Amino acid sequence: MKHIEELGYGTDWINKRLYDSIRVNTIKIDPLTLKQRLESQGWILEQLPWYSYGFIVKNRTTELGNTLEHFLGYYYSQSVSSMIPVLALEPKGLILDMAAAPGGKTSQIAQHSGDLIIANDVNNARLNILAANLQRLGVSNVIITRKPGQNFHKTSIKFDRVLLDAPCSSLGTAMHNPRVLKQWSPKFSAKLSKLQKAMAESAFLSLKKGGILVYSTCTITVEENEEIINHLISLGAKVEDINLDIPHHEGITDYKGKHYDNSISKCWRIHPDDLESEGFFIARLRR
Amino acid sequence: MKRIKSRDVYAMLEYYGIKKRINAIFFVTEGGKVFMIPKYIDVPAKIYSLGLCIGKIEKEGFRFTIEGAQIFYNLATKQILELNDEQLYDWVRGINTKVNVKDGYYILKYKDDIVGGGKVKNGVLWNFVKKNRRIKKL
Repeated sequence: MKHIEELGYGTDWINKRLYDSIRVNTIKIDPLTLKQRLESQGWILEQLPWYSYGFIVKNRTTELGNTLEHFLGYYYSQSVSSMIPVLALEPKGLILDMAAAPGGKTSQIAQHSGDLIIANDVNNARLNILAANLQRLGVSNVIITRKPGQNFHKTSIKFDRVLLDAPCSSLGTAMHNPRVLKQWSPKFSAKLSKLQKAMAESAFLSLKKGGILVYSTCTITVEENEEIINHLISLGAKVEDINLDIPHHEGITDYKGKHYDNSISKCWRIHPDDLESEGFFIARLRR
Repeated sequence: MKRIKSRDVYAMLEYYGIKKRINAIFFVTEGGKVFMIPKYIDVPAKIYSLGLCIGKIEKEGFRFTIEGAQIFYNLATKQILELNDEQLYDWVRGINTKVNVKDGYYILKYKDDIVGGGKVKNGVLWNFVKKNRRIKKL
């Protein structure tokens, strides 16, 4: 817990029970129609003030995955914070989702852009889930590939947009996944940081000149977040403002005697209390 | 997975009275699954899947997936089967159910929703809903 407190997060949020949230799949249905359908079954949905496709589920009468609407692909269960990276990406042109499984963000990209998406992951079991989710959600503008993300830049394709929602220690999800606290150690974060750096570098090098990379994680450690962005800056990346009106904290520029590039303050740290959702880190960078 | 000509796909879809075309590229697997993608580029990586599976070519005809049925329903003029509450309940749970129509392939409709594509033989609607998609109890 010490490492969480050091970052100014407090620890009360860990024991908080959060509301579920869903994203309406506008490929198949409009938000108002879905809201009316679910509310006629006794659900209570509250639309997010900053995203018309996102709803907090204040009350439901059955499991999220146990409705005809879910069966038909009308919505996707997704945490509020995890809806932000795609909005920060402003998807258009040729898009790479480098670590795409289970497909929540890929399908969200498809809602916002009809352009071609390459959805990549590395593990067969995860690819299965990705393919099943994209099928249920009716996403057609996608090619699913299997390749270690850190090698993706070796392909000849350059992208207008790349999303890297990196594998991470997931500490921001501790409120519904307490085992992440037990498995965490500085060594664990350091190991992940090495992988994240390699993936982020490959993601950056996969961009066309002027292209946009959004790097995100659902963890709070500096090693897995600001440290990665600092590395990308050393490769020539420029951190950009995220022009969204959503409560957040700034990225950390001084930590344990180390100073990071000042532009890292433009990155977003979503504290669990900011949105009553998971902790998240989001950075938008231009090549 | 290899390319299949649009005209070959639409020749199969004529069974449902579909004449108007959607601008897309089609691929077919060895097993006969047909995938649709609006545009395509060669990606130098192992392709796991592409586009959306819209259906399967079977011996006796073309059977839509749920998504294929949802996309093509508006273009179809026949082979539409309306399910009642009981039949829908069976359908989403992955259970074969009795129907009163002649043998063939159908787009399945329940109230305003398109809930899938099915095959009817001897008064039974065969269920092809994948296990991971079924609902245990509505």
